Amino acid sequence: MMHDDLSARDGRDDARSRAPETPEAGQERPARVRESGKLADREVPIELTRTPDQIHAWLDGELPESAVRGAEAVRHVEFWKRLDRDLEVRRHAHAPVELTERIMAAIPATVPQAAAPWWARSVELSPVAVAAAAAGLLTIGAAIGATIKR
Amino acid sequence: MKTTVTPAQADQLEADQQIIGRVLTGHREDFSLLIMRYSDALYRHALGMTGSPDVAEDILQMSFIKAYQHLAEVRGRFDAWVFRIVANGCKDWLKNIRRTHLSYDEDDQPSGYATPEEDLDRTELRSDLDRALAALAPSLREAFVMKHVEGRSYEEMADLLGTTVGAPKMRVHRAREALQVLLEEKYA
Repeated sequence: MMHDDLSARDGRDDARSRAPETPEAGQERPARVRESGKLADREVPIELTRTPDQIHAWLDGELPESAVRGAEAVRHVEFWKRLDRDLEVRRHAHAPVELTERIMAAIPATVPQAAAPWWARSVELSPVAVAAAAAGLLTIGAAIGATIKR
Repeated sequence: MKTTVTPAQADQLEADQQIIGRVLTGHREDFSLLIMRYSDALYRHALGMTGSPDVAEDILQMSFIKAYQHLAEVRGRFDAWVFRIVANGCKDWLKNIRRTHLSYDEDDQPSGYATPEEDLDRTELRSDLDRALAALAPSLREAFVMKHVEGRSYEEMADLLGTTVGAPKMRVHRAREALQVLLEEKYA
């Protein structure tokens, strides 16, 4: 079975960076500060537990449930089965039927066009702007010429 | 990164490209086919990320409008492209919002349980799971929702997120561990 390198930093994000290190297997977990039945309602530092690899493998469909052994592992299985009752409902959620109509009513009436690259875009300049640009270029050219002559 | 396209995906890609071609030649109404094809999966993602049906609908609506406006720029898979628009919409919303309480609208969810007691249990679990998901970092929540709600494989997740296969797998594992810490006292 392939095991993940859980020491890598990727994916830990803020919650992980603020959390104390996960205890090694076999060590006693530190006491968790939790109020009974009360959960945070926004992102909080989360102290991670150690879910056995065989539980991850079972949840990933790499192991059958019958292959999960040990009292601790069975406790994890029961926990995830209970959670899965709710996840199953979420898996069958559908977008509201009227959503397509609402989106179609909100999209522009015009046909979408690809944005042209900058070098292919047309530029409109007024005669005054052209004259100002020409005068500016002449001034810069004269200044450069004078500098070179010195 | 190497992306494997299955025959089914290739057919879907071709079908999507045909629809996009028709929309770009003036058949605006054909865009609804793309919406109907992908809205359920995208809605589940947005709902899982935000916890709010109303917000999920708004994000989908804004994302499809954006997709329509930039339809001529689609290169490759439309589903992956529109998924990224929705996923970014969800992350932007999470960055900007300060939520006080979020839960699924009770009336929106069908009951799959036989007795009122089971129904009550389900409501409480749903609410607790919503709060626990909201406590996760967005990338962990995203990975968990993609795996356990949308039922995607790690390969598919890596493809959509533009990462290696190991990254979403590790995020899912982290999310599971964090959720277990948040919920196990009550539900283990």
